[in-house]
Amino acid sequence: MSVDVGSTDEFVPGKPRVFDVNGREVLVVNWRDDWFALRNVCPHQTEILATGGVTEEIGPGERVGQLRVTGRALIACPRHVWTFDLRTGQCTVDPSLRVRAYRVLVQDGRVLVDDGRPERSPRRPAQTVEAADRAR
Amino acid sequence: MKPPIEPVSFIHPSARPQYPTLPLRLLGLADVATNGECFWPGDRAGEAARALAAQGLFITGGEVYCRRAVGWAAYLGEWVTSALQIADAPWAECVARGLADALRAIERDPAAWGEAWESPQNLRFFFASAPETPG
Repeated sequence: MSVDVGSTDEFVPGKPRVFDVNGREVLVVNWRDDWFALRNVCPHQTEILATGGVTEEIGPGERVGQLRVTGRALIACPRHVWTFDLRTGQCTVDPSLRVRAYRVLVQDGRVLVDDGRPERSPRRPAQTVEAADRAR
Repeated sequence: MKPPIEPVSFIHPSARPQYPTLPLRLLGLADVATNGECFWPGDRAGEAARALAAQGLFITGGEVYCRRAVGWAAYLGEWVTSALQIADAPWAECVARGLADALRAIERDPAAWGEAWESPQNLRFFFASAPETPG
């Protein structure tokens, strides 16, 4: 099921926003003309991932001592700077850890997070976590 | 005399806003993430799921993690409640079916969640739940 989390112009590139998507916190971020969504819990020590920085992976270059940008988008957990692939959720520090990643669609200027649920579920509008807290 | 060293705990005060209706005893059994989300061990997850359903919350699905010795936990997988048949059902039926699916997930053979689990005691369950909304 696709959950509408807002208009594309509500997002600042590289600044994750957190939403309550069907009862779980999910961060959504726009980075280099691409869109990503991850569960907002770091599997290392449960930190909030959304307050971490979004960056591009830098890997070894062709020559010793040379570095190159790989093009892979990462988010770094703010607590210990463990980084996660924004597309797959795979941790780059400990490959046995990963964060649940969601597919993001952009249609008619709206950002939709596909949470993998079948359509026709009882619908709940997505809202920011702050709004959900206010409603409680 | 020095006071005893407190056991390591993931309990965080932010747990309360996330699950305002659950008894503190149940929250104390869970690993609580920094954002307040609770992850219950396998032998307590059924009790937590029943408590959520007793509060009228529809468990729309959940996630399964494996607690790790280093770090917190590895994501193993998730389940969703088969909502196709219940989109127009009364709320009480949604709650009952969500609970039944959650209990099935908890009682599932741990090996079915994949190779990453190490022992049944290390499994952790997160429940995504929704309150009844008008309309």
